Amino acid sequence: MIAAALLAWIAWCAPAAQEGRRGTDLAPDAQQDPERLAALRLDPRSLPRAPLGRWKAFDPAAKPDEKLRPLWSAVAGALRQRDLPAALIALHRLLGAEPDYPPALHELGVVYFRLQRYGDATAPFERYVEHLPERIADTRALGHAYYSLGRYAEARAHYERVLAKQPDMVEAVRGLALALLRLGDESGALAALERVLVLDPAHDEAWTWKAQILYDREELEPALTAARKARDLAPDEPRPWFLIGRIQSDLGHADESRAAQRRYEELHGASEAVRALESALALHPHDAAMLERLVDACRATGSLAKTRGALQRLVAERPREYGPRRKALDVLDALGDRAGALEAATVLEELFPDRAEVWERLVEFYGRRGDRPNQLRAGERLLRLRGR
Amino acid sequence: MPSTSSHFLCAGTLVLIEGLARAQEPASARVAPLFTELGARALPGVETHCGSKAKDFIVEVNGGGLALADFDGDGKVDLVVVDGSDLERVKRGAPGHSPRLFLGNGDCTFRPAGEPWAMSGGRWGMGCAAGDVDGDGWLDLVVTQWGPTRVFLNQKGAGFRETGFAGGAAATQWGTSAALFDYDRDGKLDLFVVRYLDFDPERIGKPGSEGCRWKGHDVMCGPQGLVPQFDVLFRGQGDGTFVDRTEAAGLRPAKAGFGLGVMAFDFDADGDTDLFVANDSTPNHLWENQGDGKFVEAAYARGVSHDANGREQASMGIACADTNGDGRAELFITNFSGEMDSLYVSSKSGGWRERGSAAGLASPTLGTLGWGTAFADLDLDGDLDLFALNGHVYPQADLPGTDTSYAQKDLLLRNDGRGKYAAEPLSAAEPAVSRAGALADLDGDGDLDLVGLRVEGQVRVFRNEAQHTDAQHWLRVALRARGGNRFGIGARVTAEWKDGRQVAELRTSGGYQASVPPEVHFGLGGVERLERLRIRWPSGKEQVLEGVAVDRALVVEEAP
Repeated sequence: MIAAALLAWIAWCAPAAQEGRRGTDLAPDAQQDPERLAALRLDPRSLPRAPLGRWKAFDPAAKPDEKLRPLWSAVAGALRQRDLPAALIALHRLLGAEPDYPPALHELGVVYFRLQRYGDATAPFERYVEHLPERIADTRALGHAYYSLGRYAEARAHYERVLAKQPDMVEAVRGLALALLRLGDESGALAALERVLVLDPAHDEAWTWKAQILYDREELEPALTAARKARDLAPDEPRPWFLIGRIQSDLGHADESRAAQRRYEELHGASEAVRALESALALHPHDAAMLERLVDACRATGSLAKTRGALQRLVAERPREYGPRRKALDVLDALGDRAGALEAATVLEELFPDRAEVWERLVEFYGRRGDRPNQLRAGERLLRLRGR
Repeated sequence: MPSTSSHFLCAGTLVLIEGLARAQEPASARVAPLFTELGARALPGVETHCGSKAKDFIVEVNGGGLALADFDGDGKVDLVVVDGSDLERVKRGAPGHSPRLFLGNGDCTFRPAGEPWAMSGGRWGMGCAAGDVDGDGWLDLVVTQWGPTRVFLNQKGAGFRETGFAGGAAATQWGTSAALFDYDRDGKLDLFVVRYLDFDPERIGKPGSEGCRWKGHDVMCGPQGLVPQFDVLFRGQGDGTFVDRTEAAGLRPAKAGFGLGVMAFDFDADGDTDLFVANDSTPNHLWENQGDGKFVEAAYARGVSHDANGREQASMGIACADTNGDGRAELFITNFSGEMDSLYVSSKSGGWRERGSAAGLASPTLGTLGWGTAFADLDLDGDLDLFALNGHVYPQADLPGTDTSYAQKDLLLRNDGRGKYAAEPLSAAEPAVSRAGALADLDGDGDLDLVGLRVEGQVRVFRNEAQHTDAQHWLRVALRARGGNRFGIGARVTAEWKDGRQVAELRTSGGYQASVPPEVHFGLGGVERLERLRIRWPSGKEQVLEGVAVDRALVVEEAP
């Protein structure tokens, strides 16, 4: 699989990537520089083409040629930094040097897709399929891109080709279901969603879509059952609550409907804030202030996993700064993540042993955990720092 | 409105004002688009304005408004064009471009109306609504602005006179669409003004500032990040003046929306008029008239607040009609690019379901940014089609990677008779940056023509080229009610024939910054004669006309 191969390459590139932002093509404070903006104006359709057959013998397990390694290293570094504009520049350079190099085509499609530039995403994916038709299963995201462009018939056809190669690919079945739904084939969509749920009974999104279709058909009780299942699997997702509120309203259960609507509005507001920040960060991944706001927005959704992910991005961006590390402790502690908070406290101690405010916070932190030895240790350290 | 002949049927008074032979066009296979854009022939040199071409501020992107109605009473449809301004004029305190009336020639062309109809320039014109607000039997005009709402009283077909609008402070902010309707059924038209946001160019950043970016490109700021304004309801006094009744009527939602479109209609068929407001990037509002002078907001419970994913859409225009014959209206909402337009179909539970995908509307509308729209039987085959005028708000839509464009094709969405719509170009015209649009029979041939505005530039008239074969019958019905609501706004008209019926409500609200003539239009396909025409007047009385001939325009007087 190309994804596995890509991971292998990124691992191979890891030393370079771990150099940090300087491993990318853009300086950390150059988020508004002309080169970054120019990256968004690159046209993937203008990239040079390799003759068909050039990559017929391509081996995804092989390392890139010597001449490509520095270029690939730049790609990997940008991706590790989630710096999509930098990744675009690096990928265009690589594909200029080695036309239609399959892993780069694939990654270019992924990067454009993540930037929500779906038309641009289709071009490299389509070239990839032209060169490696037997590897079509690598290009599930091409179906997503067609879908996002409203090219639902092409999306359906692509998912069907992917599934012919790999029938149990859950996300391709899900994609097929949504394409069928948009084409007006609700029965086909429902059947595909049932298939998703056979493959992955905990697929909350499939339960949500199933509930949606049943609700649209005015089959209210089955719709409510499916929506509740989705909510139980993903209690922090707004959409199941939205559906439950609607269904309860149609069932005449006004109080239950209002309660679900309230919960939906709380979660929806928070998740929209996350979405807006993620979208902005796709272009400005090193904006620490925005990353801090992302942490707060994720925290508001109540999702520990999302909050942890945002904190990881924040501290990776400013690994030796006090603010992000302190925020990690405060947020994880407030969310009740005992292990995560303890880890954050330990890092805080190690990085900032001479800051009194650290130890003051740790006294309180360890005290509330009932960790008497550490509380005492932190207290003694605090007194020493204050010269008492 | 003068009549050319009269004809009495068994119930009520029916005035036949036009009887038209069907057009003698050959019934050859249609290959050309249904509409022909007439270009400058129809409205020589008539252009609108909306700020700078760069569109650095949100006030510069929504375009103007238009009203189609017979203001001078000659039986031909006239046109009001509401024009905008630019920020330089605003800064200088200079008036914006004047709203203008053009008198219809009855052949899809118009001529300037002359001095008696002249309207002075306001601050920055937006939309308009036509209706008889002083109960004298002549259509008056309300103009919304980024600035005070304005009322122009019709001097019995001889010109307009502007009144001082007594709506208070609530009337002075950014109004977009407006609807004239009789919410309390007192026979006097009331006014609902949809408002957008608090706009102060001195306090709003330039494109690219404060995260004002779209698809990686710097674009004008808003509406997100700006402060939405509450809509306002004014109770008509019957003499052209209004009193703010917003709070008294309960029309104050928990959160304001960025309002753009409005539709006044009786969604629950209980005899009073409700309101649907299309909000940009905020949940839509459905104001359910309780019949006691108060409204309750019910969009979420009725299923029209968000899309099916629970996401707010950037809703702009509204089409409203009963497309499936169940007696309750469907709603079609035009949205931003990347959001398909929404088709809300009435459900058994008294609300709606979003069924755009099932109706074939997802793919043709996903990439467009829609504005003016309406349901109507545009090809006269007996079912209701749609038009959608499209055009982006960002000139930057033409930059790489946006998956859309600034100028876009306007769409005809043709109903196949089973509730599925097939998209085709509205006309052969080049893509444009379209905005408001309104339908009316401009040439009196029984099919509905269209006037469309662009964000700025030449006003466009589209002539409907329907073939008028034996399977393309029609009927237009205008009403003359008793009391101040003389044109019968809010009446429900049902056309019945042997094995079918159509229901229409009479209104002038045209969805997005537009106003349409106070009449209903039925496309009847092969139906050659109605068994009956049933009218529920705003007064609540019902009147039935038996054996109604088609292919004509009727004016029906309310029986005593």
